[in-house]
Amino acid sequence: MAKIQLKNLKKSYGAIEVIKNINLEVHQGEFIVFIGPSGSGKSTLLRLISGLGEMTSGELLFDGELVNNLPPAERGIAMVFQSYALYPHMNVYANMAFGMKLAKANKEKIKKRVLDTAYLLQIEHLLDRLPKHLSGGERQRVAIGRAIVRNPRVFLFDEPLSNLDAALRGTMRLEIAKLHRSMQNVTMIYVTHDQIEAMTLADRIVVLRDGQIEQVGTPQEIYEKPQSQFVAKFIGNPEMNFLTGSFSTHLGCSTLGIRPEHIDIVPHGSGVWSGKLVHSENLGADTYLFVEIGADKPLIVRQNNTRPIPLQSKITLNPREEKHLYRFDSDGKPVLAR
Amino acid sequence: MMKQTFKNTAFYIFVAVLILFSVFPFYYAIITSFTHGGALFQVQYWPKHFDFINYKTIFSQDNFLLSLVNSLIVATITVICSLFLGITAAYALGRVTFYGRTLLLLSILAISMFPQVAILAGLFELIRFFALFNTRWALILSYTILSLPFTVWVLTIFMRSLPVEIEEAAIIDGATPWIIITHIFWPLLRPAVITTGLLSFIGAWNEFLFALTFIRSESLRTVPMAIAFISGASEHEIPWGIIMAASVVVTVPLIILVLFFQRRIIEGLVLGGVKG
Ligand SMILES: Nc1ncnc2c1ncn2[C@@H]1O[C@H](COP(=O)(O)OP(=O)(O)O)[C@@H](O)[C@H]1O
Ligand SMILES: [Mg+2]
Repeated sequence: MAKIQLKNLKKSYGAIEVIKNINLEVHQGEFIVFIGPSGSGKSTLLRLISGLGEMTSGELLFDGELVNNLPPAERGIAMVFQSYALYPHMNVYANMAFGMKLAKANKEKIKKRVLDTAYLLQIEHLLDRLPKHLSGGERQRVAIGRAIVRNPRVFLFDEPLSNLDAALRGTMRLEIAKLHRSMQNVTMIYVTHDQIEAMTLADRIVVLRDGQIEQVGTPQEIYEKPQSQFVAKFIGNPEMNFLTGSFSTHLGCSTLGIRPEHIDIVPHGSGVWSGKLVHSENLGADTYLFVEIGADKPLIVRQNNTRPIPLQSKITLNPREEKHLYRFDSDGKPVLAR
Repeated sequence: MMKQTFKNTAFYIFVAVLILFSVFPFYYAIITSFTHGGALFQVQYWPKHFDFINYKTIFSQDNFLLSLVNSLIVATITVICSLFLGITAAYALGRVTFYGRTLLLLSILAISMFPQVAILAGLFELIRFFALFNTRWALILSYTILSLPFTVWVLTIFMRSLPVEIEEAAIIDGATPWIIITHIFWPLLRPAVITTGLLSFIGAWNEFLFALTFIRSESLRTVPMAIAFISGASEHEIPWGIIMAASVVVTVPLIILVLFFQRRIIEGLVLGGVKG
């Protein structure tokens, strides 16, 4: 339920600057996802917002109020950790009630809130179990439940699903999306390195790189209008193809990018690229074709028809539309339209 | 089927032999403590009659009672000191990163391998320097030194097995440092604390060499010394009955302690459950 402003946020460990001048405004009720490679400073930034880490300089405002010196418990936040961080010696009920108990809420109120939350997350039957007797997915639910019971202004998630197996991750992702929808106006900041989570959950994505914001935008903007080669490469699966040298110079850029899903197979003589099919991966619905066109790496083409093409056959390719060509200069910045 | 029965039988025979070996000396001590005079010198495996005269004798000796009190004081204060230092050191070694931490931890482990005699001379100088010779503090100091490496080592390992995130979750839940210590650390470290504390206590209770070296006054003797100094009616008579009765008396508190904390100790030894 809070608007969060980060102004010139910096954080150093000794001489190493890990967070370099971050400016960001998170709107009230927004679901923001921080994404970036490992070591890019996502957790550090989240910890600065939570108050568990202390910033070196800068300002952090919640609803316009400076919270730099407010201890974590008074910021109105709740955090869900990657390792769940449940109290191992307390049962699920006690885990969820701990925060309210410390805040000296009355017993009836605590009980009602814990039971309501347990109902919401369908963990009522687990209330008197110890964390060690829960499965990974159940622990994650309890950790989320503990956060909800705190009734926070802001939810902070640090890679909450990365310890779960793929199937469970999908289920929990849906539940988190549902949760955000059902808790109107609760601001959520979610750290992940998983682009599917970022694309499906976020209202806006913040791409971090080496402690700096590379780009902020809706999932669609990030996918369609990457503001750098880094973002273009990071979002999308399989990765965007990058062509250099003679492939790009005649288009006035040093690197030309095109996503595998934006390349069509066309009749011989009508396309811009042609080459031999050297490998193909059939994923059922999609097939990834690796085409050797004389660039550094084979061009990956994503086809959703599964008509098999024999290996070593010659294929001609064409970008589907002009707008699907991404042109970057030697610094990895986009070249503006001519 | 047959094979299974054979295996089971072999197993129980093995266990029985093991128990016999470890328990027999104590059992024989108990039997001896109930015999008196000439009967002492007949080997017997079953008590024929219970004679409490040896117990009466030791409990009528003021020195023996005094030594029990001394041992209790020394062992208790040793436990308090070594747990206090151990827990604080373990916090530093387990939670705070500083230069040379691993080296320090390894040297602590190395120190715990030294034989007691090796540090006797050095310790003697130290105790003379602090003017602690022939005081209970000499024993408390040396026993604390003796038990600290193990205590620190075990507690550090336990401290490290507690994820920092649990602490952080508590901070976000609004826990003060005191609440974190009492509601999070203590319940989680309790098995380890009890186990190491108990071992320090047993170590201090049974120690003989330092006690012999650092204590001169009869009134300050601890239990193992008091037993060693029990003498018979004549120079040539070793009063086995009385010695055994005394040994039984001083072992019983330990057994009670261990039984009392048994569940906790086992918890402590198998505690991997914190990982959660
Ligand atoms: N306590 C610390 N001391 C020194 N460096 C740290 C500390 N915590 C994190 N770092 C460094 O800060 C950078 C960002 O770390 P982190 O925020 O954990 O990245 P991410 O969560 O994006 O993987 C990394 O290079 C990491 O080595
Ligand atoms: Mg991280």
